[in-house]
Order: sequence, then C-alpha cells, then structure tokens
Amino acid sequence: MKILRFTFLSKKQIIFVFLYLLISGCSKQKKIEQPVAYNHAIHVSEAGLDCIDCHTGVEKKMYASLPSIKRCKSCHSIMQGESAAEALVVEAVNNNVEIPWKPIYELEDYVFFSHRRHVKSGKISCAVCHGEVEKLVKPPSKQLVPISMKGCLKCHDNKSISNDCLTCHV
Amino acid sequence: MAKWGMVIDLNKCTGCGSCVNSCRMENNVPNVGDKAAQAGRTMDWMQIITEYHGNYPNIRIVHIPRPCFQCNNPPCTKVCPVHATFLNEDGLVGQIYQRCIGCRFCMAACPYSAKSFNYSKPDFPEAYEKTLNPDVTRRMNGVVEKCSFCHHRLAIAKDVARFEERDLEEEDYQPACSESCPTNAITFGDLDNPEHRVTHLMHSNRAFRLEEELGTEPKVYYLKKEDK
Repeated sequence: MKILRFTFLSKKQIIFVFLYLLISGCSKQKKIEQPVAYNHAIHVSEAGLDCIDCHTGVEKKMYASLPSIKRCKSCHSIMQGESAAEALVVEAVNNNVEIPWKPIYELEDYVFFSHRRHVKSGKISCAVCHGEVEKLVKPPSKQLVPISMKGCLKCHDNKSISNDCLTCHV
Repeated sequence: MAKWGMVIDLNKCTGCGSCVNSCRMENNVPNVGDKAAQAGRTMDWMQIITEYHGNYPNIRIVHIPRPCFQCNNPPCTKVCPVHATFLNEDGLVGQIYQRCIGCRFCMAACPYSAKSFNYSKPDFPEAYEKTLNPDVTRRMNGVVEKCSFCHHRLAIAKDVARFEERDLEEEDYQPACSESCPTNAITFGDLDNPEHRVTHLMHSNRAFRLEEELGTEPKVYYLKKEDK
C-alpha cells in the first residue's frame, strides 16, 4: 500500500473514514431537529385539525407556509395538556415570539412548483408528496417521501399532464 | 397552443438600453468584468446592435434590439447532443442548464449569436445578491444560456389564470424587455391570436425578420425604420 506511506492515518482509520463517507453519502438529507417536539397525530386526531388549517396558503398561494405563532395562539394561550413541548409553545405565544420551524421540503431554485396548482386544481392530497405525516407522534426529521424528478414525471405521465421541461424548470 | 412572439418597431427604438438592463435584472445575468469582456466573453440575453449609415454629419443610426428569436425551425436544437435545448409546445426554445454539457454546438449553430456561455462561475457583488430574482435560477459555469422570453413569467401567469379560472390574457404574460420599453417599441403577444396587437403589427408592410432566407422562421419581427 504505497498510498498509506504518505498519510498520517493508519489502515483502520482509513477504513473508518471510508465507511463514514459511504454512509453519510447514502443518506441524502441531513436529519433536521425542530425547536419544539410537535405531535402531528394529536392535533389531527384529537383537535380535529386538517393540514391546511396550520399550513395556510397551500390552496391559495404558490408557496406553502409553516405555521405562524398567531395560529398557535388560538388554542395555546393557556396550557391544554401537561407536556414540556406545549409549555414552550405557550411561552412563545405569551411572549409573541415566532417559533423557528425548519422546513424539511425545500426545492432547488431551478424548479418551478406551485402548491395551489397541485392541491386546488390537481386535487392531489398532501400525503402523495409528504407521506402520512398525520400519524407521526414526533416531528419528522427528514422527508417521509423523498422528492425526486422521477416521482414528478411518473405522476405527470399517469395524469397526462405535460412533461415538457419548461413546465417545471426555470 | 399559443405561439409567443415579438414585434420590435425600429422607428420607436431610441437605443436607450432599458430592455438590456431590465433583462439583466430579471434574469440574473451576470456582469463578467473587464478582462472577460475584453476577451469577448460578455453575457447578453438582450443586445442592442447599432448600425451607422452614411457619412458625418449625415449619419443615420438604426438600433436593433436582439433577443433570442425563438425560431420555429431552430438550428440550435438540432445540434444539441443531450436535448438540453428544444422547441416546446408553446413555441419557446427552452434551455435546461442542468442538462447542458457545455459543448457549445448550439452557439455555433445559432446564426444570430443569441447564446452566451458561462466561462466562469457567475460572481455577483455582495450588494447585488439581494436584488437577484428568486424566480430565475442562477446558472453555473460551463453551461450555455440565452433569452427565454421570461418564460418563468409565463409559468406564473398560467398558474394565476388557472387559479382564477380564466383564460390567459395578453397583459398577463409580458417579458421584462417589453414591459420596460419607454417608447413601447417592443410589443409581445401570441402570434396566432388575432386579438393580440402583435398579429396586426406582424402583417404590416414594414415587417421583416432577420436572415429570413436561412429558413429559421424567427418569431421576432422588426418594423423597418423609415426616414421622415
């Protein structure tokens, strides 16, 4: 192993680095931790909320949105339960501070995607692209359904929507 | 399907450069700097070609704005080995940067020199970063780019029209150059739609197209400059 002679690493260390790079390369998206351990399931099943109630703009605008503190305020100005996560929300509501939610789905800038076109005109349910988020007890740390061009093309093909490159690429 | 095209009245064009600058701002076209410009590597989606006729002091100046002509029979798409440039159903010649391999065959094939090549990574000054258009992607180095008739505006206009459940109207989709022209020299619209102003103008007896004999069928018409 002539290459090893010029490095400061031992054989074991090189194998470890190689394996680490291999594994980290395989998982495309980094795990994202949300500031509050949000429970989707409890909001959907017990509070009876729909996705659109908090992620407003999905039906009316091109871009979806993460919930603002005003939305949380309608229920969480006082404690509803006893969880530590809710205490954080109540504190943020009382101080009128936005919770820094982190987006999990972010498209590249060369893709044109309109939410209202897909949700309102196309009548596609949220779960098709985002997975069954309503069953999650913990906030999702990565995309449940990984977004890929292959998936877009397949759906466009099935619904006989134009697959012309300029439809989505700007 | 629509056939988007443009009519440029050379009588009205004063060569002010408003279309050139609005195009740069709208489409995030980088300034290449002095050295690259001297090497002939300027990036222009819209260019003003100035012609001088006659001798001083009796000079007649003609300014010819040159976008991509979005030809109906484009020579550039035929030479692309990777289908990065193509004629789409709306009659626009698309350029997909992620697919482009930078062979520059299309640049050689285009008789109007409407395409530019990114010789280096686009370098935007810090203050400029905030003014970039988020609707248009920034190109990487090693790819060819060209005027797209601001097709991102078409995508948005279609989306709005669909949402409001109505047909696309002439004013819904206008590229940056025609919108910014102070003398209204540039008219844009659907060449197949008799209600659009361009259809009247393209049948004017002053109308001509550049290098028509090549058979490229450009969708940009010019109205000849007449001396008054």
